[in-house]
Amino acid sequence: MHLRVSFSSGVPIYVQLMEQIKHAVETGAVRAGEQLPTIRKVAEDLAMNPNTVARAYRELEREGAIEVRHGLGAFVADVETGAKTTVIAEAAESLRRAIATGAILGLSEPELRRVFEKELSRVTGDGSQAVSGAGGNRAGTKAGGSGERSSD
Amino acid sequence: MNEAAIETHGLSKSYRDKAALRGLELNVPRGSIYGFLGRNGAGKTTTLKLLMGILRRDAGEMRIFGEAMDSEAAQVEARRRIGFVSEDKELYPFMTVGQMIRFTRSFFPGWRRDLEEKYLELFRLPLNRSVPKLSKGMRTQLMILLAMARGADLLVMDEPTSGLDPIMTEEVLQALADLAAGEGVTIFFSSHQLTEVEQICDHVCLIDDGQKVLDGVLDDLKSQYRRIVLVFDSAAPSALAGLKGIDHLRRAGRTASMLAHVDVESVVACTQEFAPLSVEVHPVTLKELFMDHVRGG
Amino acid sequence: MLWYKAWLETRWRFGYVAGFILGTLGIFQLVGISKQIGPGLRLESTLMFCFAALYLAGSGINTQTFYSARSSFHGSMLFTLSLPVSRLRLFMVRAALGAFETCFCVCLMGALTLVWLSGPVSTGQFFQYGMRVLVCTLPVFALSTLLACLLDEMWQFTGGTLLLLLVAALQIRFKFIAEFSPFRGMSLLSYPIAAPVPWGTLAVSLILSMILFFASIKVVREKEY
Repeated sequence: MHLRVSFSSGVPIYVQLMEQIKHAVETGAVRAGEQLPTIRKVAEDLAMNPNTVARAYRELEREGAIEVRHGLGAFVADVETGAKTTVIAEAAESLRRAIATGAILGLSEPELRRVFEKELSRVTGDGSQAVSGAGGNRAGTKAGGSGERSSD
Repeated sequence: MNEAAIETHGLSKSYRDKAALRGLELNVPRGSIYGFLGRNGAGKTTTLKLLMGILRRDAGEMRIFGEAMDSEAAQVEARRRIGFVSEDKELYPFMTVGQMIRFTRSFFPGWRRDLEEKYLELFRLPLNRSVPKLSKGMRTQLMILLAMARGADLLVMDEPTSGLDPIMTEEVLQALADLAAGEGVTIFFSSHQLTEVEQICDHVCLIDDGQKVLDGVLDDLKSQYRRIVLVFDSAAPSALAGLKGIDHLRRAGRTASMLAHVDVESVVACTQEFAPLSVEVHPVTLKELFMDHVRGG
Repeated sequence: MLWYKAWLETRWRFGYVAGFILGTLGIFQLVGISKQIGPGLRLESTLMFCFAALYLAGSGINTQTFYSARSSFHGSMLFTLSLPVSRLRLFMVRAALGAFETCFCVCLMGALTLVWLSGPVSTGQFFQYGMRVLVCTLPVFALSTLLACLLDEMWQFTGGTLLLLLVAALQIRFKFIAEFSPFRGMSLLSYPIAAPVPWGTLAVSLILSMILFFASIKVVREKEY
């Protein structure tokens, strides 16, 4: 598993590490049930703080993406239970950011709710899947046959 | 077992014409990797020498692993558990690498032969070469080896990676990370290399002009602080300075930037009353935190 | 391993001084200087000359490093001070080894100059002379130790030499000082081999040494690096 973090980006390092590990699971670099390198090994390889590595592992465990077996080490969680929890956690995170942005832009709670419901119905309505979630309350839909475009 | 590795209250030291430290408050948790930052002349080296008992403090309290450093005997006892790397990395010019190791080893019954051999090989230090013939980088690595192999619970280091090439630097950082992870060693070091500090430290403390200006868990500092950048239609209003919860406001023409660390969202909301054209919220790097807390204000 | 370190630190200087003494005496012997002047004067001048040389070089035994670049001295002192050893112990080991080395050189010198005495020397007289020389050297050694603690290398040489000259001048000028001067105590002109031991002078030497040593210890404890 090849891990890389940037120490001076604005994103907290433990978050970057979590993303890297989840990505490794997605691409199949590590599979369900396989053991992850020890905290000590990761800290040494990346020359980074072991507490930060520990934090990443703890958060991943909380999200259900990994399992820590006492005395044995950390293992990638079983796909079924793990994946769902991770997905849900990711979606929650995206929504949290979207809401925060909306608040900054000055939308009130009822206004936010209306926007959310509108976008939700747009997705479920025409059956398209790809909703780009990163940090916006803009939902883009894949232009399938319906000719719909992403709107502001 | 929860006491801090290092604790100081009101630590002060003056030289003939200058007050080097003016009431320093420090708390270094056990097992942390603690970065000690500041400009040249801010008092970093003075602090390290005071911790080691090389200098005598004028005022204040100092505790190492909970023991008050109030007598020479206490200092000597503390030094049994501390590995030190000085700023100028000088060792005995009349000894070879091997002799320095044997000499230092004789003072520490907890000496770790395995670490000695591991780092001798990793740093490729020639046993029979005399110290003056070593390059500055190798002398630094030797001094770091001597500090790490003695089985210390605490490392106190003054700019440990200065003068090292990028590969040596990475080797040293890896060794430190491994010591912290494997042995639970507390590492306290001063540095100018902010990227390294960001890489390996979990706590930082920034001092300026003999006093602490910022300290805390690095991840928390970086997640709490945000830079807010506002652009206005005309000159940025000076009234912005009245905003609550901001530090280090800078106005340049139609742009204003400030740091906020408490309740960022409400600060952003407050800026609305100045009717900015745009509001951006950015995360801050350690470098920005440093620059702003030392230069700005 | 503080003794080992102190030995490594001072061994070249020590060898230099011992070699210097041997060399000087050897040259004197070769040149035949001993025959030109009267026996008393020969020994006196030899002793004074070697002693001055010994002191000047011997103060080097006491300096904390032979390698003179000031920065490297200061830095390696930081390393020593970061070890779990009290300053007192550091000082004692260094002073003790320095004393031993200086005594060795002094004995060497004393033994060799004695060899030139044509008259017979009993073992008792030999050791008596040895003790006299040793005790009278102590204050000079203690002085050089104190200077080493107070001043940096350049000033030690100058300071030491000036003090030596000062004492010599005072000795000539004031009979009272000459009475108890350690230099006189060492000299065979003033106290020939068969003369009674000058206990007064020895006592003064010992007291002076102790005062100077205590002063050195005080300086070492307070000094900041």
